[in-house]
Amino acid sequence: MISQKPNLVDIPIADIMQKYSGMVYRLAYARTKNKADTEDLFQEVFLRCLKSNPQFNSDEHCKAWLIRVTVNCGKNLLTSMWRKKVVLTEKALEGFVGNDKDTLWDGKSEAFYAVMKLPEKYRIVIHLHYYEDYSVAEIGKILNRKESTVKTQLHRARELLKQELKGDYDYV
Amino acid sequence: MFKKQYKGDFDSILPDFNFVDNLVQGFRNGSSQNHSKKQGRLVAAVLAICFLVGGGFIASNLNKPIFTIIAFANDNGGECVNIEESARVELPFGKISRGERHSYVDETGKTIYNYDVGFEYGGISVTGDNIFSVTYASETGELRFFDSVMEKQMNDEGKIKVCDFTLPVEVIHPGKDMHAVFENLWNDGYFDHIKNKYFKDKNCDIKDYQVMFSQDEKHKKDGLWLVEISHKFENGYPFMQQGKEVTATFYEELGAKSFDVNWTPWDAINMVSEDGPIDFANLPSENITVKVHFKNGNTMTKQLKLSFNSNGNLIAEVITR
Repeated sequence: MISQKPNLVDIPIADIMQKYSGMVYRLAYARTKNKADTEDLFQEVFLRCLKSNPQFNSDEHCKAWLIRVTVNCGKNLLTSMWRKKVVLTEKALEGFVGNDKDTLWDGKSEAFYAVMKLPEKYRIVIHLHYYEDYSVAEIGKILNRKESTVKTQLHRARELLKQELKGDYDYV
Repeated sequence: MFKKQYKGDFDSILPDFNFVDNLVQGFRNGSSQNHSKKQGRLVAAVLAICFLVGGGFIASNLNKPIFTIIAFANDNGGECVNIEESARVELPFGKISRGERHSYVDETGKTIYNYDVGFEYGGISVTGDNIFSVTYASETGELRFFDSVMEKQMNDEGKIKVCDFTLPVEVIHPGKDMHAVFENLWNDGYFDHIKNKYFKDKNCDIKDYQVMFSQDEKHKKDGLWLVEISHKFENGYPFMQQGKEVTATFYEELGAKSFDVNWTPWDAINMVSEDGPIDFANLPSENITVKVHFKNGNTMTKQLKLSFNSNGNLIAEVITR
């Protein structure tokens, strides 16, 4: 293995795609709620990775970088020479609930549908906490948000989920 | 219970094989498919331009090489324009434009506005007799070069992909631990038949390879993964160069196409996307140094200056050094 900086884990994009394509795709889906935008976002994240060639000092560092880009890019600009350059407004994203679902929604539980009805900022913290198993502190660090902000968002998300899900759910 | 349900739902959300495959091919080729699906959101019409450096070179006069830069559409039959030295030429392609205005609310609750941007992307190429290689250097933009001959050769020699095979999904369930499960199975001998078939004289440490799981519709229907094992390239694919400087070498079978290089003015694109009035003529210009290495050892350098006029059209000038 060739490494210009022996103390760094110099991960090429192919390796990163191998390890994290599923993670990025799922988080992108949790954000966008539809396959077309997920694929656009997925493409943009790895394109940025290819372009900027960041040096990661660990797998967790790499994963955190990908999460940050997946959450933030598109809020700013999806600046790609090959594709549209557009900002997806919250309103546009919310519009997909119930009327523009794709086949990935088929067979999903009521928990999935309830989360998809949440605003984007709540979906992201829910996904990072319940799927990726990140703690509140870790989410705050990754997204560069105050721990108290993440805690509040998670709390409000759970409250909304409780209203939506009538059953006896355990949110630990 | 909530967590279990949610995890179970998202475990099955994975990128399609064809999508990832196209994307990877796009990265390898220095281009990518447009995956936009929704009409009305697609704004940036991305067209192609290509610059060709060449023509006018007299083979018998290698001590005084002359070549002309021309620009043409990368659409097989598009208009070509000669860029004579010391003249300002408006290129038929490369136009930058503004699309719709959009807004979003940032973390602080502030509404931010910005614009879609259209740009006719392009590249640079060199043609002419007795040219061995061409080095391009960009000051403000980004250059990309894809060596298709090297890529094909590496593919043919098995230096990229080692093998692919299908695997029942029940062996490795969808989820984030798939690669760890695969590695354990590999080390426990589950894939010895694959090792015997494809890794006879090769290093069998799976950590030294990249493993990709994917599915197309048929695989999904049949409950299979397509598993692809490839070599790792720690510093990226050797047949793909990207950055401020790239060098292209001549291949007989490709001729002038040997030297095709793409160019993108990221700074200009970003400035046009920002909110507020814009004057395209004030966008940053680009200087691309084109250094041609001839087979007899001679070199010749030209400076290609690219700028936008007030209508967003691309203007080119060539300066000989």
